[in-house]
Amino acid sequence: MDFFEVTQELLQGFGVTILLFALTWIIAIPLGVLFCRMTLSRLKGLHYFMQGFIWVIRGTPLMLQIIVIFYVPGLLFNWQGIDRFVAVLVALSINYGIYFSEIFRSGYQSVSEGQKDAALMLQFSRSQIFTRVLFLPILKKILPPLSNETISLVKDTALARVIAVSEILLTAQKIVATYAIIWVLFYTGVFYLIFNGVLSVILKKAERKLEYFKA
Amino acid sequence: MAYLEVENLAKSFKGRPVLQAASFGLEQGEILVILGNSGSGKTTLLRMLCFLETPDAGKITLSGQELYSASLKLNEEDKAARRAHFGLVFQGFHLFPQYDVHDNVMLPLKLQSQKALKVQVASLGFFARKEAYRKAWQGIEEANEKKVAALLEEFHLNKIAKDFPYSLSGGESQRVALARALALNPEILCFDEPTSALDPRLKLEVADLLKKLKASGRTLIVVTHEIAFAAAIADRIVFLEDGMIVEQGDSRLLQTPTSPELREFLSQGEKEDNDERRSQDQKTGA
Repeated sequence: MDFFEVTQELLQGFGVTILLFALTWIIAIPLGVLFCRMTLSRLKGLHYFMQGFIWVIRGTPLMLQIIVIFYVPGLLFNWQGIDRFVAVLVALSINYGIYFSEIFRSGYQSVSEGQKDAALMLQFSRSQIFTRVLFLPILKKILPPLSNETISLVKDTALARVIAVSEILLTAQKIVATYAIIWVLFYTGVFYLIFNGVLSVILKKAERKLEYFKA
Repeated sequence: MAYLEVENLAKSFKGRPVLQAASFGLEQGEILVILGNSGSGKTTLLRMLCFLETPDAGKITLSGQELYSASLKLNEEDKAARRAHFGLVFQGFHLFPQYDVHDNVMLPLKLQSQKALKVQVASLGFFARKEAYRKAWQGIEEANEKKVAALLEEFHLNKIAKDFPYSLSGGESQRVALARALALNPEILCFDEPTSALDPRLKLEVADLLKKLKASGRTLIVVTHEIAFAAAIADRIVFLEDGMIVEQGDSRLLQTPTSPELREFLSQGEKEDNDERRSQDQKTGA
């Protein structure tokens, strides 16, 4: 198998990686907002439920969570045929939804109560307080940790191979096993580096856009 | 009955009383100073008057209209409607960091105009509503721009209109916060510790500014712990100690205190003023 063929194979695997990353990100962001609202809820039951949920998700390996979501429905309810890709997507979305929610929570709590009071005194509605007053300062505060998690997510998609989803690393492993050419594994690093490099530039640009004010 | 009448206002936090049976009155066009040490309940009282905190008991009446009594159950909308009577310049100013000076003053005006206009055209059909809104908005926007320009001019903010809050000095931030509070034309303007963190020269400027506002017919409520500042501006004084109004009266109260608490507060304040003056003299080499 020559370099060109390997690149073509890996590109196919990387397509799965990017799809998994993009869909997870799109789902995990609103899920994170929802989890954050539930954590900050005044309903004590909901608050404690979320505390427990956060403890479980943060306290167990992501790989184990993928395995649980893929196998447990079958073991408990005899559900057959849960799609492998969907199982990984669900596990990643919940896991990252929790991490994002903690970032959102810290961002929300770091914005001074005084800003909200000032807006209330100026007759802003609740939604205007969020969209016109709090959103940008919160975004400015959460962008650096959110960028870190986003980059981590790209790398964590590699865990999909644990239930045989053919993302780039599993694709490479198959080539190594079939053709006994080890460099293919190292070559996958180039794909990750380029993609994460592009992401880093975009996220840095977003951070720079918000440098015009100090929150 | 006074213009603003406060009767037996009380508030506790987690069972600990921070304000008990506070009663006082204020006439239109007067400056009321709420004086007291840190932790005496001054800011809590001010926040209750501005409906940022809900009292546990008591009554607030403005121009004969009952704004609060324990029997009234106020929802968020009710509280917002009551807040509209008051403007508040916070101790920390709380300017919106992402907007420049001009936009800090403009934003509340813009949102309020949008809300009012939406109500005005609400009965029209979809397309007629959009058209009526578009036509009316241009004129409203121009009027708002004129109003903001006048406020920036009045408080000498023209030159820094495009600056962002992080680059402003304490005095500038305060004037922006004041212009912003005045944009909605509140009936009563409140200040929480307006001279904290300001040097003596700026304190005098603030006192002049408040007197000017009074001269233009505004009713002011000022929370402070600074005696000289209070003496310079007050028509009426309410002295708080440990959540209770110990003494109240007109500005002569500071010359003829009757309670031992106020006497002690004044002598303490005099000592602090002397210390401050001495350190200023040392700084200027006098």
